[in-house]
Amino acid sequence: MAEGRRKGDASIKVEGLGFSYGKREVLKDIAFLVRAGGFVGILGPNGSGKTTLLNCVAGTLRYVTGKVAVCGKDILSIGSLELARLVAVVPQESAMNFEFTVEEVVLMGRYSHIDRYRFEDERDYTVAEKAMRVTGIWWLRDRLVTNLSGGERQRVVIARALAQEPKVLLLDEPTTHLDIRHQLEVLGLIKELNKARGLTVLAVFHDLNLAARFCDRLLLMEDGRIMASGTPEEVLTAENVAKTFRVIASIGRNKKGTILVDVGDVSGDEGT
Amino acid sequence: MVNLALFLFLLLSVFIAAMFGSIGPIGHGTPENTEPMPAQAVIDILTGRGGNWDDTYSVVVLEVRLPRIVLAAIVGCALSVAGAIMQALFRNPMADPYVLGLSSGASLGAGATLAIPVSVWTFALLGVTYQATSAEVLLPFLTFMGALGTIFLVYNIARTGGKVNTDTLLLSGIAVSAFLGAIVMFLLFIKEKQFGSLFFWMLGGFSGTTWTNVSVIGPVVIVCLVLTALYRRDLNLFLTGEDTARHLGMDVDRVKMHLLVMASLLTGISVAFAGIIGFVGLLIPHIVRLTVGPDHRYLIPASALAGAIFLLWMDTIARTLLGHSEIPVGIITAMSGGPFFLYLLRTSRKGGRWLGG
Repeated sequence: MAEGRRKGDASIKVEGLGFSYGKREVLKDIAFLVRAGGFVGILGPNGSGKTTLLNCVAGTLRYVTGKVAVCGKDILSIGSLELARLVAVVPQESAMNFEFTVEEVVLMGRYSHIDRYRFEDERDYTVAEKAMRVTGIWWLRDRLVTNLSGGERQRVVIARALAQEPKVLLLDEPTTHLDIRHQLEVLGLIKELNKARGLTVLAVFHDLNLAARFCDRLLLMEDGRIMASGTPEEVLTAENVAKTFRVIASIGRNKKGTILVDVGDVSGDEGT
Repeated sequence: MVNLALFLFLLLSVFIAAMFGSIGPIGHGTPENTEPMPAQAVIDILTGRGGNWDDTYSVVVLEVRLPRIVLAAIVGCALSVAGAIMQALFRNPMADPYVLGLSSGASLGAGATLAIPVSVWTFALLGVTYQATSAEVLLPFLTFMGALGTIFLVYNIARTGGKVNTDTLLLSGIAVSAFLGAIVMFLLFIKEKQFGSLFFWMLGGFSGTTWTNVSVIGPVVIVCLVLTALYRRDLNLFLTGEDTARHLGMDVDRVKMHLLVMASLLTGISVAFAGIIGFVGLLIPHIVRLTVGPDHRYLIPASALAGAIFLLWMDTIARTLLGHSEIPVGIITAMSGGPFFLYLLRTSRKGGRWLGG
């Protein structure tokens, strides 16, 4: 992790970010900082603004107030190609209705590196191959993406993101549609990339325990604001969980010392 | 490989198509001129050994049939590439130049050339005392403007808050298309005599094609094809969804605009020279996709070639089937394309992979 960190400069820096859909304010005065090589999770109940926040950092939504900088660059002032070389996004679910081969899909990640007037060259194929090997889908490279399982498909999307050679990886509940084994595999893979390559990760999580297990730091959102941030121990307290998610929870630890949130029952009128 | 095979087949088709048909005047031929030309004559003329044959034969082959065959191929090419662009942009197999109102807009442009006196048009082309009287220049210009104007109208209706929603785009295309189509029909209805020719033109056809027509449309279509080929990766990215395309670095709205202009140009100029010919833009890319897959690196050239072959054969049927007079090719494409398309929908469940996944 240390080698990925350049003089501790912030990889993602968000200041005074605000966003509204029409009149409805979805994000209010968001500020946080993700250091290069960090693995940060965003938690919060439905409608708290997690995905909107991620989309603002991804440059998909044009925010009105505040500033988002990635590697020191204001994401709204750089072009879409340069942004794609800094930031890659893995969405919750990707449309894969077309009979592209795995390799073709992964090569799409090279879009921002290939000029319109040239063909894919050796380097593009090498980068794509590496991305496929790291994600363990090299053997699937000639298969059609339409015939893959959910877990394999998500690996393809991650490989495509890696082919962009980004500095920052943004993930929106990347494992929601996977079974528990594939959840662990995919997140383990991302954690490995984070550690080995110093890839900065910002991910939205639904599952509090998965977040606690894989993230260095957490942001807990409520109603468009960050109500707590810090290490999993600091953020996932019984009090915080009760307040944001309106559930009664007890906090424990497993043998490895990882925080475990045990949700007992709903409290008040609203569930997660 | 597929493309090479298609290309060879296209050449062969041109050759065969040149051999079919009566000698007699093109269009509504007189019965006494319907005797077929000897195939040997055509072969000799095409291979430069036509000296032994009647001069009429070489005029018919070189000045009547060949330009027509070439135009049919070019238009088929243009329409199917325009369809391939539309289908990728909207991730919808039902998208084609007709659904989005491009051809209605182009028809209205053509109607305008008939409705408004030529002197006004000469004036309208600002300052330049260029004689825009000839239909060869004015018509394609106005059909292109009609198609482009329509797509911009449709595009801007669908545009809300700096983003363009594909479903809204498709729906507003259908609405605008119906509206403009109604205006054209209204013109036809109230001024039957003046617009009689518009009616036949709207049925689509290639009769009376000259090499001048080919020399106007040819370069435009070739340039558009090359430009479209440059956007092959963008077209692929569109298939994965606009959000993903944006994440991968595409300036989605700008690229979309470029591609829409290209499709308008291809459609507008086709409509100008051949009237309205349905089903090519819808059918050909769809069939080709079943064969070569969705990758536009192969899909674009293969669609171009397959479209050329398809329309060339349709036109050959249109001008030879009845012997003494020809059928508008639009009728032939719809009559053969419609049932074939339904057959494809019913038999190959693969058709469903577009939408269902």
